[in-house]
Amino acid sequence: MERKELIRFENVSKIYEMGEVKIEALKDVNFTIDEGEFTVVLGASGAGKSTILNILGGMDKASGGSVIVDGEDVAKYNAKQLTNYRRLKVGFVFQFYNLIANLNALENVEFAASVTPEHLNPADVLESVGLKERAKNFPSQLSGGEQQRVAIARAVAKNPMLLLCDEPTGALDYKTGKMVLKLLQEVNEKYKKTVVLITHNSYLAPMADKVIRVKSGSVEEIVRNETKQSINDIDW
Amino acid sequence: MGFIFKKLFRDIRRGLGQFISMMLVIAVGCFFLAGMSEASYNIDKLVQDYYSEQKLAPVTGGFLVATDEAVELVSRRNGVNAAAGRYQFNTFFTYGGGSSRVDAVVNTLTDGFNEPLIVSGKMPSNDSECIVDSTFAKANNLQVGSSISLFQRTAEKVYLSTTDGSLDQDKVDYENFNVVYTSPSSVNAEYRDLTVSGTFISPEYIYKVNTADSSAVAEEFACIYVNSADMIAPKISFYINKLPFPFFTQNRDELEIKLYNQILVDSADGLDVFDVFDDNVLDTENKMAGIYVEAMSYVKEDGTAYKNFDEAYRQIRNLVIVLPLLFFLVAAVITFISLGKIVDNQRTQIGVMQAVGISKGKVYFGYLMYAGFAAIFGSLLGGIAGAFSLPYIYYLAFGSQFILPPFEMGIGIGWASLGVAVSLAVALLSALISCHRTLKENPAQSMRPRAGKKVKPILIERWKGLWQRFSFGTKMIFRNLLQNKMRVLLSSIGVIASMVLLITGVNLKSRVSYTVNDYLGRIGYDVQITAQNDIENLDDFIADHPQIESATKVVSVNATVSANDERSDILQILVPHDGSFVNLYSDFEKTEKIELSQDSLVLPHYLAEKLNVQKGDTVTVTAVGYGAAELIVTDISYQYLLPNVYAGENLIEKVSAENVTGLVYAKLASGTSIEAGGEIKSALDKEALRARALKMSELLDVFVVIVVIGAAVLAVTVIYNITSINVMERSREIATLLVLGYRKGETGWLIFAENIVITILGCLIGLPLGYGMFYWLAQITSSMNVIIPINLPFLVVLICTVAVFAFSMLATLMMTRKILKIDMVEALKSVE
Repeated sequence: MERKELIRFENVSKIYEMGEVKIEALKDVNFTIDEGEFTVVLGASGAGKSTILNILGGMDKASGGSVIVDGEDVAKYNAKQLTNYRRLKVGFVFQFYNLIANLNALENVEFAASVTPEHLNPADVLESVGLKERAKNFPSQLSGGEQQRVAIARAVAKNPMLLLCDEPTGALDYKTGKMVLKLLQEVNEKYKKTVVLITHNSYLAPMADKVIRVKSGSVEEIVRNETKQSINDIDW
Repeated sequence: MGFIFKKLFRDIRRGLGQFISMMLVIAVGCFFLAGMSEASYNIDKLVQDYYSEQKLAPVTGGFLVATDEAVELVSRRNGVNAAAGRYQFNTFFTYGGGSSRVDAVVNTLTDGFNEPLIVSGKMPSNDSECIVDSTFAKANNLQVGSSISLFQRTAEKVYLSTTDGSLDQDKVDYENFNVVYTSPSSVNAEYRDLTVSGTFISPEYIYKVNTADSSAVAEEFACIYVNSADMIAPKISFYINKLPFPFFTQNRDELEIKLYNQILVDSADGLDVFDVFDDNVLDTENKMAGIYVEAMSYVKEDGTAYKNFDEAYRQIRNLVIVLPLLFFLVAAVITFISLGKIVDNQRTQIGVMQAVGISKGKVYFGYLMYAGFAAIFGSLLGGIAGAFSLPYIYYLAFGSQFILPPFEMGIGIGWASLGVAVSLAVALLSALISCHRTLKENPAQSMRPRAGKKVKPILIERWKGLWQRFSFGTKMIFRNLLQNKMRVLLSSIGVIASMVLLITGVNLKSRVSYTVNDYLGRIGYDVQITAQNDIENLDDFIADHPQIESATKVVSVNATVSANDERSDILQILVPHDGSFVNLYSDFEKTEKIELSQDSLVLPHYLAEKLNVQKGDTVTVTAVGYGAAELIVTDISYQYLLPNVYAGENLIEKVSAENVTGLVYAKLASGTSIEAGGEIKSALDKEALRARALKMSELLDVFVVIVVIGAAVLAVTVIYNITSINVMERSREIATLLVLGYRKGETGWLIFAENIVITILGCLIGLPLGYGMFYWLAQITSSMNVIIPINLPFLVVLICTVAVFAFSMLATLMMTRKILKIDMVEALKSVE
């Protein structure tokens, strides 16, 4: 199946300047991701994978190079354009869920959906992550796994082009983590969303269409899995 | 220990805005605590020292006549350390070849009592020299070396009356003498030329009141000292009168002795005039040494100048005790809240520090240092600034009404030190309590985020129809506010305090302005004219001055009013022959006008309250120098500035006063004016009267402005501080919103809207509290001359509310910039 190229990182670099010291977090990062692909970015702590995700998500700006998303160079966006980009094209899932404490599960989803015109039905999405019964519960009344599912529903309901997940299972136990990953895989398949998942857990590599290994701020290798495995078949 | 310091300084640097705003709140508290207390203490000390250095007489005895023998007798009394006689009289003078008369009070210099402080030139060295008070001299360009022509009586008649009506002068029972001290009538007078040898200020004239017309415009009349009583005291002829009137007079004696009419006494503390002068007539071996007049005697504290200063000072001191305490209390509460939040925000760090084995003591130490630094820097900054600036402002403010000795206030650091100590104690205690709460938990607990607060649906959600309509932002705001009622209340403390201060300050200011308008509203004429002499025929006077369209003579009677065992101070009863020149109202809204008739007696409401009388009750009016009469109060009128008792013409006869006056209220033809000169000693138009009225309220005004400025600073710093804590606490939530694609404006609005709700709440709570505070301050700062009306106009509420909103929004806008700078990556990375 021929897929359209959605993302292209070209010689992307990121330098953090902290006073006198310059830290090169990314240097000459190059990769592409196709539309609808499930990509896993693998790397040890400090390898630069979160920086890639932050730049890709429009939360941070690259110091050099270009970040082409859907034909436009995000690296050249100003703050306002970045906000719009995040608003319309990106959905985030974080390690620590970051739900709004004062909104209940459904409202958290509705709230995120409300900022984009082409959002999906929040109740449906919440149902699809299996939380129909918990819709009226507030984050403090939900378990970690449930909160993360709400977070995924929140990201999906925006109907974004891109779903970015930063260690989404980092704070979850094995079983719950697996459930969350399964959900992400389902989202990728059911809603045809391009998913970029960041993890340090190399056992997760087989679940992706493409694996980008990052080391010391550079791409070490890019592997395309001919057949991706269901998360159900992966153990770690 | 080194790392604790490093962490401390980095904490301060990272949250510099927060640290500074906390410091500022403490600084504002200490500025007012130290500054106002220091200033108040200093101004009092300055004046008290002045009194004692210039030897203000503790007791002043008034005499119709007193001889050296009388002085000697007084000085031998128990408890009297020293006594000296002097002669004091009211007169006028002309100078610079002009014909206009200047009212003056003339005193003889007395060694060891009421010593004037020379400002320029020198003391008079002979009988042809005098010194003039520097305020008058400066305002009227009267210089050392100028000469003045002083009008003085050379001979006087004094009437004495006996209670038994005995006319046998050889058998007069002096013990039972009843002295009637009409102003002695002049039988002979002349102008005497004197050279001004110097100018002075004097402790007995720190507040100058012209006895001729009771006005207190220091530039318009003069105080003069001359060398000896010989040169100014007139020869006196005594007449013994039989009661009842009409007079039957018989020349008794002409005394060719040195005379005084005052005896100044230095007595042991607490001695009253009665202890010093307990005889009506001092008599040794049947020789009259002096005729005592109780009504003209007073202890130091009852002297006009002393009393006026003391009253003004006490007014201000009352403000001074309350406001710094309030400012300080707010500072303490804010310090407490801020530190609590700061420690709470670093809870995880504290857990980590404990986990790696840092002793609790060191953890405490770090936060205590943070609190200590904020308290010490803030309180030093505020305390020193206050202690160095406010005393000077006080001096200038008091100097606008009082003639004070040169500014040499000892800038003490006593109050500033107290401020530092108390701030430090409050801050340390706050830090201690906050740390204790966190350190109570074991490290494992504190390293984990606090269990999320249980969020429950709020009440409004039950109205599904309404709730569904709300935007998510609104829902969040509602839940935030209603779930964290305590936080909202604490956050609104700054707003409440500002509102309280503003309502108090602005309303005081507005009410003081009202008193000025109230005073001007009473004036139903264009100009108040004082003639050089008594006006016998008003028609002639009007004919002489074609500008005058109509006029009325006004007799002023100095009297006391008493009822129900309460007695007023000596006050002026104004008796306009035609009552239509005065506008008096019997209600606050000024709808019920009082018509003055022949029998009217209208008391100002403050006096009616003091005497506990109502309309229709009977009071006793005792005219100073004349008789007393029982009169019915016909009306009670609302008067706030320089209130007067007004009466109809019949009062004059009833208290046997003289129906003569040089005071005229006149209405002028439009477009004309009338100036002093010739027959007219002074002409005060409405502008001049307004200026006079404004001067009365000026002192209070200055302090009100200080209060308002303080409220503004406090409001901005407190709201900034609280909002900054709020934002810091919610940085993660804000970052989440930003990541979700919420625009910065939309995100800012959430904080903004919350602050609006908090501000509304603060205003609602602050309004009644502010009114209460105003009510209380208005009562304790009201004096005989300025009575503060107790009401709260809607406009004041509006102005204060708008101001508080402006302060709050200003602080919020400053914060919004901070929100926009939140680094999403950083904020979301940190685990809370």
